[in-house]
Amino acid sequence: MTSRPRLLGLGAIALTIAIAATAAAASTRSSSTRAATPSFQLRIGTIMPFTGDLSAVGPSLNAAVQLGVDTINQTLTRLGLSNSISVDLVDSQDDQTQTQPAIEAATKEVKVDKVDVIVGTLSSTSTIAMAQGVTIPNDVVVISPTASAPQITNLKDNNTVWRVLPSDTFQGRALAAAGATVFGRHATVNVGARNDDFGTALQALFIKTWKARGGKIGASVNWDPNGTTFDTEAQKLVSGNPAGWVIIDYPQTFAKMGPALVRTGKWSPSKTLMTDVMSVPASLKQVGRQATVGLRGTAPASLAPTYPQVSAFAKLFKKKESKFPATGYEGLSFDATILSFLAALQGHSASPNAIKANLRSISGPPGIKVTYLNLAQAIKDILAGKQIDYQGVFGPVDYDSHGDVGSAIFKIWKYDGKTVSTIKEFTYSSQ
Amino acid sequence: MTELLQLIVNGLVTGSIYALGAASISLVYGALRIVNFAQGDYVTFGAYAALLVNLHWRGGMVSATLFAVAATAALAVALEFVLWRPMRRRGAKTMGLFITSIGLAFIMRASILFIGGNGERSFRVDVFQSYAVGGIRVSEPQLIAICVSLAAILAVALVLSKTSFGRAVRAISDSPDLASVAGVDVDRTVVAVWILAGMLAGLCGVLAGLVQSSFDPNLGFTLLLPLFAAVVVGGVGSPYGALIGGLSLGIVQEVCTWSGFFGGVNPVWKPAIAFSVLIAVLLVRPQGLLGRARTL
Repeated sequence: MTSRPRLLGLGAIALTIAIAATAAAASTRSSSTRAATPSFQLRIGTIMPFTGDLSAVGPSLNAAVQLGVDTINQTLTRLGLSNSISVDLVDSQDDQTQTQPAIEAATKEVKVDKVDVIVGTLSSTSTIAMAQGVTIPNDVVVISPTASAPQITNLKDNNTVWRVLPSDTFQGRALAAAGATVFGRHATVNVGARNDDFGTALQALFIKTWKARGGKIGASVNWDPNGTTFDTEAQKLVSGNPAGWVIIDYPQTFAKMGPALVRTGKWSPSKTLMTDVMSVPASLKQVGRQATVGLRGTAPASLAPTYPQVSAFAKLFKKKESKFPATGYEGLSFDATILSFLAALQGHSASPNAIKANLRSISGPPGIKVTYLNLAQAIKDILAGKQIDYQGVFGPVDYDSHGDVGSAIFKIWKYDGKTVSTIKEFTYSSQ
Repeated sequence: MTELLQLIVNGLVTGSIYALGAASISLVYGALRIVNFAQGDYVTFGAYAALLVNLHWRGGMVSATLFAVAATAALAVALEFVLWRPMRRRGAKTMGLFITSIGLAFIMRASILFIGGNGERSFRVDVFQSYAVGGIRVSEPQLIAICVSLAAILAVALVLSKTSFGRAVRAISDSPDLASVAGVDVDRTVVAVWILAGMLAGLCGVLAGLVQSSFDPNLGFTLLLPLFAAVVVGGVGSPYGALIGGLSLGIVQEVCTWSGFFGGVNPVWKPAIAFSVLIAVLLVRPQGLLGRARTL
């Protein structure tokens, strides 16, 4: 048994050390608030479709996230901040463009890898499933590069779900405007869509807008992407004598639906409008010439290449990630990465709460306009307490209160068998 | 009327694919009591084997099909020696073998994905061509699918009912122990069953790839549920049952969208209708249309 005096002596020493340590800490705290250099490691995880319906774009967008992470870390090293701040892509998972694998991937990244932000997934259905199942209950921030279904706007997400591509409420209007240009405002149009969140929502939006502008709808058909044969659905879609078609689908399913449509003998791609994912040349080649030459559609357009960050990023991606095809949508996931970093920096912490509290203010006015090209300046401005307005390599971002981008540029694209060209562009704003 | 006929033809096409795959599963379950969850991936393997010949070695579809059928049969036999026989020797019963087949399914799908890539693949055939026969549109791959499937299943049925090998198969499906007492070489018969099942699965894969015009490594897996349904509807162990089950499911699926049938069901409900039929058949005749009633 230790003697009392010895215990008292030990206690006194411990107390003295504690007081000294607190005094030291207090003095360093008061001196460090003047420099205010935050210290955090931002852990990013990606969930992308490396297989499945959207596998034509998944790997490239994942590579763009890695590119974003590398760009940020290089800038931090140049500024001498890499000892206290770093960004890491801790894991990349495949959601197979399905919901169940997306939920499993998110569970792994949230529980095992302890990510702060998930950049993904690409399909709306998977994003909603993953958010409702895993990330919203666990309060992890999700920035989807391409999920465009309108349901995401009003999702009860505690401000954790954000996206970089404009909502399909814009694309519905763009499709109707494109339809008016191509078929005429009062024409009868048949609408076909894949049976999932993205397809059915956009179909409903288009039909509503089209009818409100005086147009007529002939047949409206949906198909199960996992179906064995598509001839029945194709035959229903070509029934009647419409002026044209609006079809909402992903490339791998359309690789089956397109030939079925051609086999009916009553369909032509030159009388059809589709949407963004189909405007990627690799996807169009997958489907086959007879189902795609002359095809037109709408797609969100990035800012013009005359904007310096847009053309610089295109060159950077080609140089650093030359193994991956340039789909035109890499800028979205690159922007998601930079945005999450800037928000964490302004919030002085990588915790999801800090990120979601700051994403809106760094993405839009007021503030000094910055791009990834002057990232170093942006970092210095934030650390000095100034407001910035990040201009992305795809769009200006400008988040609204729902986590949607505030404005959108859409284009009508056309495929002539070799390249995809832009016929027309129009800008929408939700403000 | 034309619409109904067209839908019946569509249903025959879908049904032929189901019938072939179902015959394969039914054979394996009937003779070996293995619920092979990986059978769908045998089908995918067949499709990709044909792709190898058709795309890389520039063979025609006929040689591609023959190669696919042979390759899938060889795979089935290899797996019997490497996986199923050791499992049976260790005393694995239905449940253990089922779980094994699930693991095998994942391994096979991942391997095909790794080697074949994640993109959509197509055979070098014209998938856009179709003929108008009366008011009906049908394409060459579809006609081939119907005829070949019918012929293959009839051939299998004849083999099982008329040959001594067929008698041996029926013997081991009743009771392997009694069969071996009666002089049947159980091990050789099992290998022969796997050869037949592999051939059917490979053929199913090629036809499914042709009829769908493009496919990816999930081809067989997405087919698996309708295949099992067709097996159950037709009755386990009978190739004629698989034919009837597959064709009836295919036809019911497509014809339910006919506008004369209460305006036509929305095509997205096709799988639901098919499985409602499955449930109805199970309620009325649990052993399936051509299955033998047995007490378990």
